[in-house]
Amino acid sequence: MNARAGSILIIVAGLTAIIAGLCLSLLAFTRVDREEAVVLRQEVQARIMIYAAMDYVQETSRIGWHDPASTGPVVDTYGWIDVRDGRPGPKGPDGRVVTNSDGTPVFSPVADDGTGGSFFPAVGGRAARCPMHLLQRPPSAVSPAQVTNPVVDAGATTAKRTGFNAGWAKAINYTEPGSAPAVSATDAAFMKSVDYPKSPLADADATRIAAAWRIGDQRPVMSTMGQAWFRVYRPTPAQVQALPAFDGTTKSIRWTPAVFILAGGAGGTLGYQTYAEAVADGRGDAFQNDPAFFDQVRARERILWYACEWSPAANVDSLHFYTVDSNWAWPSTNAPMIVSNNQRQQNRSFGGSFLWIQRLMTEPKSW
Amino acid sequence: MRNYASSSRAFTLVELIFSIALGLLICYAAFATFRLTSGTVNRAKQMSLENRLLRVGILRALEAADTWAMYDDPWRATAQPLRTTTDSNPFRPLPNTVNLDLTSTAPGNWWRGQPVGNNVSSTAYGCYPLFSGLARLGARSTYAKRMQGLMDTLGHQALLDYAPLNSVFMYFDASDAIPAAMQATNFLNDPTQKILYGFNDLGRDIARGFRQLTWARSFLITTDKGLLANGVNHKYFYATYQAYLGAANNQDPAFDLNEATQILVAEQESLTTPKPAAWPDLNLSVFNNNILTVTLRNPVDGTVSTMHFAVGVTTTLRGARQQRGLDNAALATTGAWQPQLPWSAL
Repeated sequence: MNARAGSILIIVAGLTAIIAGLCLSLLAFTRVDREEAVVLRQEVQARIMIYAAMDYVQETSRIGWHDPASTGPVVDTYGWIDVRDGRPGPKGPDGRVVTNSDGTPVFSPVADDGTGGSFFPAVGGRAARCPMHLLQRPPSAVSPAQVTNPVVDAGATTAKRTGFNAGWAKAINYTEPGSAPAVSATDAAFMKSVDYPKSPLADADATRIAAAWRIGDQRPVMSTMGQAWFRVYRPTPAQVQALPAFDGTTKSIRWTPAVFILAGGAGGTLGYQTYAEAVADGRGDAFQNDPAFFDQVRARERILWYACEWSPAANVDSLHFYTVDSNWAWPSTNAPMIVSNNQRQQNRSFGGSFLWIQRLMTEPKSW
Repeated sequence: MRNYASSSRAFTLVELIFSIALGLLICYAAFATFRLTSGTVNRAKQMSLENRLLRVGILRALEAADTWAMYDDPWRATAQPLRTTTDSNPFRPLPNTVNLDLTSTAPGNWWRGQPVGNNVSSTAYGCYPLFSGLARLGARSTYAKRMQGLMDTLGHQALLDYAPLNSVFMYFDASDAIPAAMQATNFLNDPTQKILYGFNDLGRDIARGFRQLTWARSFLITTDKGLLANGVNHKYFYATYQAYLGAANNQDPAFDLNEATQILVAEQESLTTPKPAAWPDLNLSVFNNNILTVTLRNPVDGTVSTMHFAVGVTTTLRGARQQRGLDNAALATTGAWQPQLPWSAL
């Protein structure tokens, strides 16, 4: 054994050990950073879920419910406080309490005060629970694929329809709800034969494709499972009055049928408040039929609670007058935007708006 | 043999020189490697610390937006400057004259008037103060009392916050006239000659909606001691977008909202005081409880990282006041919610 060779080996080994130690330290820092960043990611995810919950409140004030008196499956409704009779909604066009898909009224039509139902949107009914994993293709999704948007010159009779004469004027004069007027079978066949090869209108598969897209492909995208959820709860007057202020006192919020308690979560409990609730839904297997496992998943979640009050007020732009040649004028609704101080887009939120939003700093008793 | 053996274990001068040089080279390489590695680790630690502070800053900013604690600290009475009752201030307790039942079906909540030409001295299109106003009785005064109470007590920013989205911001006062605060320009300048005050800069008796009131301007809230000491009254406090309006619209050309955002009315908070000398400075700035700015300054290399973001869904002013129970008196007199038929009499 050469003594000098041995000493070099010791030196190299020592240096390598030091560098390895420093590298391990670096990796450890990176790992700690990553773990700590999860907290921020969950916070942001939970807030996005609150956005989604508020959208849900707005949309379900107007759509998504069934009316037993209607021939169609879903009807438009008139808000969480019906503007026609001032009583709790949602109610259909004929004023009757709307139903779930199984035909049962969402709350008691007899009491007509929003109570008497087991589930949302009944006052005091179990919250709407919305796990927010992605679907392969949601129902009624729209494909981003570009196809020709046909504008047909209905008045032209020649084979060469190169201009947009009467058809174009009709298409943009605001009397039609869309930019494409109804296309006759003759026109559709003509378009397909001439210069609209991508037109879906005359496609023999159009009906089948449209039906498939309307139903959607509701298989979940597995990588998005167990990430986020929200709940929307319509509380009772007593539950709203029990919500504490910062100093612990109560009765700082006034109840109306349009007050909601929202929960936005980032984690894997699928939006179940308790393990018992999951079992009642037959989903105990999602948590290995083990309440301790549910508690473990819950402990790793970030949940934010908010209260809010919905309002039917929907027109942001409202009154805005200006003068034209010394006369008062009012901008037209949904006119195209031009570069002017006096004419602008008139946005409308058909789902209503919110009178107030309030973060609840502690978990409410009912959500 | 022994002598030969001893001489064979010796080395020449050349060998000595080479071995010393190689030894020095190895030592230098080892030192350089160690220094580089330790420098990298230190930088990684610094970046880790900066990232950690940024995360803390963002979380703190979101919490501040949800609690409005930078405007009114609910746990420190000495940090509640916006509860002063000498002027309109957004955290004053709301008087019980304000009815907080904003149900849209209640006829008392409907504004009655003309889109234009509401001046009581010119009744060519009717005299609407006869139908609703402070001088009327019962539900015919509800709308006016609410507008007046919110504006005079809490100020315009709060008025916009409380009122439903499609409200008409006008009412008739006790003499059936439109209040000056809702009709005429009321320009006052602070000592910097930059802050504008007013509600209706055109000076006309036209009814305004939310969009018109906030076109090219923003109503503000500030706790700046200098501004408050110089007479800023939240009843009128707003800034304009100079780029849109310009001097031709009777606006101060030296001031716009961007300046207000950056300098005048943003609430500031240092999140790293006290701290070790080598730690970065972390500061949080909140403008109108909406635009949040987290700034990180590294004292070692002088770099500054700034993150701006706006919170779309957060606690509104009314929500913040409910968190503090500031509306309890008004809620007590408003009473419990009852169905109100839209065709019921005023």
